[in-house]
Amino acid sequence: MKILHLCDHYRPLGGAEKLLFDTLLALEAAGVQNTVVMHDYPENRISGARKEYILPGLDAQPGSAGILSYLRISLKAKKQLAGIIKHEKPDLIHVHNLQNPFIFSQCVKLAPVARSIHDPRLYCFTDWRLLPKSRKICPYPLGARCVTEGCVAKDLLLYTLSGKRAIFKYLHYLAHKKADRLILESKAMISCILQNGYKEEQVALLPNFTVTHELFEVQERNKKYSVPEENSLVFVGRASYEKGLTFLLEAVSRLKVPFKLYLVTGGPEMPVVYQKIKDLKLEDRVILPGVLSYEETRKYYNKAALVVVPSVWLESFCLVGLEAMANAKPVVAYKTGGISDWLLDGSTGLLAECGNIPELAEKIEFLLKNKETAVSFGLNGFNRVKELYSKEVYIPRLIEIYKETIAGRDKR
Amino acid sequence: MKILFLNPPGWQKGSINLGLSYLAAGLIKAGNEVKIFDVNESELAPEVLAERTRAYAPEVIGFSVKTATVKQALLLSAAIKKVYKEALHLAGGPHITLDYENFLKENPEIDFAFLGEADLSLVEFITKLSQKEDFTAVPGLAYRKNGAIFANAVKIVENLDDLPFPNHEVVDTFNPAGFRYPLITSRGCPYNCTYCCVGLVSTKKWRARSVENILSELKSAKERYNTGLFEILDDNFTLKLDRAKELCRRLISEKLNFKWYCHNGIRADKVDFELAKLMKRAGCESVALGIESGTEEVFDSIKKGEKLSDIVKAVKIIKKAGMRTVGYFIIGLPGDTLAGIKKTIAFQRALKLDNYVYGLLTPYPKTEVFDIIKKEGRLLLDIKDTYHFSAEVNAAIEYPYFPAAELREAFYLATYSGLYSFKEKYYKNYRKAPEKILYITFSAETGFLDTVKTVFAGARPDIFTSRYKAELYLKAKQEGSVRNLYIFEGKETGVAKIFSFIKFARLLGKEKYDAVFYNSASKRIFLPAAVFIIRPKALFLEEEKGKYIYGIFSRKVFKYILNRFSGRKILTAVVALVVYPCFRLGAVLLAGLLLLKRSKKLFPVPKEREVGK
Repeated sequence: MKILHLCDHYRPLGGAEKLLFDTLLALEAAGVQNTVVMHDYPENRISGARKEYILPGLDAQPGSAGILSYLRISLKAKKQLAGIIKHEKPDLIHVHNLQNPFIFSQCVKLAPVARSIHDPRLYCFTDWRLLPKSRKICPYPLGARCVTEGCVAKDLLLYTLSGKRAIFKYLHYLAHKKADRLILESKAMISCILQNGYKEEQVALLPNFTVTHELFEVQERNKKYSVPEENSLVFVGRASYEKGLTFLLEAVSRLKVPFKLYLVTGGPEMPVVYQKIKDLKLEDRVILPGVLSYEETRKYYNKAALVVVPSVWLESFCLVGLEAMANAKPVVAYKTGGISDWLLDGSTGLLAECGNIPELAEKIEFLLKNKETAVSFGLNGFNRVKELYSKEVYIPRLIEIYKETIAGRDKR
Repeated sequence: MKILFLNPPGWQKGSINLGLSYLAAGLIKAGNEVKIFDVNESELAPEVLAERTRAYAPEVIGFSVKTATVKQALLLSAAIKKVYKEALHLAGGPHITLDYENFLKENPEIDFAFLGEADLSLVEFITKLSQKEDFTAVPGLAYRKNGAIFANAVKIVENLDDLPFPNHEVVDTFNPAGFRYPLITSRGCPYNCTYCCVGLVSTKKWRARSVENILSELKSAKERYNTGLFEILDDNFTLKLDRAKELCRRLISEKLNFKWYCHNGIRADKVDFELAKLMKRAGCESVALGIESGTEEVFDSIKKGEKLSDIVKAVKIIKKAGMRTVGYFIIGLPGDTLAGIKKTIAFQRALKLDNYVYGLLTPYPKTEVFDIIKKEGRLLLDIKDTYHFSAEVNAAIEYPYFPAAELREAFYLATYSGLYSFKEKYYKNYRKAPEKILYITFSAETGFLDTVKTVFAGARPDIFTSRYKAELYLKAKQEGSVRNLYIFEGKETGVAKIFSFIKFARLLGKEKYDAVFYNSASKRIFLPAAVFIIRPKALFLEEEKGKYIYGIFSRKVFKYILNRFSGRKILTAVVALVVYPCFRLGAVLLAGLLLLKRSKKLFPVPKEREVGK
């Protein structure tokens, strides 16, 4: 089978990119022939591991460069992509993270398309599905509320960035109605997609996977890196509002047990994070190792007494949770989006009501005080990952989705 | 046979290893399968590279070794041998040619080495190896036998036209987008410059390709990569003036429409006005000259075989022809002193070059300079620890009359001469050094902070930057090397941005800065606010970590602002004036449409689905 993958970032950046690389490798091991077309971000590089194209404008956005340049670049990229598709003749196009309607409609026109959806950008004008004023999770589908809540533009007379993007965002939303398959990571995401008017037959559920190891190896590493008396808490993820770092800092400042918090993070909210650490006088308790590769991050998972996922948006899935469980660590998280798919409350970790800081603090403290429970949660998580979220489960299912998609297009 | 070449890290980013592309082409022509992993570009960790090598399963692995990349090459070799032992490890490149005996003695993991140009000898070696014949007599081969190191005489390529065109497509990181095609039209150099190793590596015998052969390669490059740029990387491109002129004439008559550069340098005594004019007409944009020193004594002592007056003449000719001039200078040549460097700086300024680069001397083995330093001075570093291109300023040598600390000082004086001049003028006017410094930057390049610390002896500047770049300075702020960090939050509309910046500028205006440096990669729109509201004692546009600073009333700043109003941009603005209201109206209509699309559905209850179904 020959698959053409389209992506924006082609480097280890976040969960979606890690999943992309793991998927490519696993597919190749299963005999699938992959070709990658990526956007021309300066950081993107040809790896030589497979056939790869860098296509300028693949993920062009109508941002500060102006709409005219956006149109020119996008239409040129659309033409070039058609050339690549005709040359490569893929059985299927798998679109990963891309927000360009011209590119997507071109793909749909020329080959069967499966689209992975990792976030609400497809049907949300503000990208993260948070209401602009209250920053609470938006419960509304794309429609009238997008205007009344000020998501299309705060004031339609002022031509804001979201206003500039609105038409293209909507075109992108419409283009996906013709997609052969929309691959969703969690039940919550399926709800969102159905709520926004996509058809049930378009939807396929495919939870993420992570690389797993043998239990003895994991326990060996945990023994090597953990410092039991330290009560290490670990957060891994982007430093941005929706990932809830400030909620976590507020929560840990309420803990009555000694602890060390490791924030494996970086991003636009770092100044806010530094300020919060200073305001809450947590300088001695918070350690910031920066943004690390998975191999380096794994050492922090191994060190952790528990891993915290304080996301305050509709998490599509959250790969960090799986990684923590694959390293036999319990997880404390806010109950939001796809998190409750993998985190069984009271079995692999604990869930707190989204945005409730005292409850989050309480759950963290409970697991820090009850170490045996934490260990058993970690083991339960490890077994759950092995059983449901491993490569061995994911890849056959993905290939099955590919086959269904190709067959579906043939029928049409 | 299956062959893998590796280009180890430690060299200039964005450069392609042309030598390896030539070797690949020759080997492919002889029926072999070749790949090149450019680790200098991909920055793969040794373990990842080793895994990738194992997956490719080559029978021979060749390392391209320059003095600055020896250690990295050996690291890669060791990492590969850990997981994949089935391949022979070969090494070649300038460092091997200069120091093969020590290299083979010290590094048993490398099986064979190749001296000089290996275009012919490597093909012969691989052919003999695949046919299981004795290869020990292959020219240029260095090998171990009974504990001793032997090397065969090097055989150079007499007729360069016989070589196939280099193959860049086998390079793993190759990207044809915006490709500046590397071109060699001749090899070798007959001169005896004391610091240079070209005569030892490419030999003193100058050999040139025919004009037909060069044009044929350029046409093929245009066709295959759709590129309109090339760069001449010759050791001595204009040695024969008539040949260079003929090439230019043919480039003009063939109408290939290339833009090209001579950044590897030409000799100042090998350019006349006719050649310069032809080069310009043929598309040459920029020419570099190896000037090395601006003091007569040092310049004469390095045996370039030209005079300083030739340099002055060449710069004038090149400028008059309408090309940009670039000068390369060396700090630390025998006989050089801090006072001498000051003279060189004055000379460089008088030349009014468009660009200049100062480098600290790295003495290569077997060059005359290497022997002089052994006698007169001292090697401070193992030359394998030196960097050819680096932001680090580490002197590799010193003399009793030019100690390492002064070499470093000389480097800063020369590279950041604009900043030093400002410091001097400021001192004359105010009887103190500038203390309150603000740096306005929206760029990801943070090197200017180090420059400020060095030039203004420990000054703690304030930084004004965007939310997305603030992270780069947070550590410096925590360490105390930045006094205040001002973060500009993004605003949704241009008007809101301007108002927000004005508000900020008014706040910063109260600080009464001695100097404000405005990074040229920042948005131009904020410059007027910096001039009229912050009103520092001095305001400069800054580029390349402070290497270039321009006063606010200079032509450069004028151009920088005018660039905003180029013909194409004005045309786009006019079109936008017509088109944008339509989009704006479209957004309003879309909002109307969405308002009609009323839906009471909040989150529907998710249907129970089994995981994986």
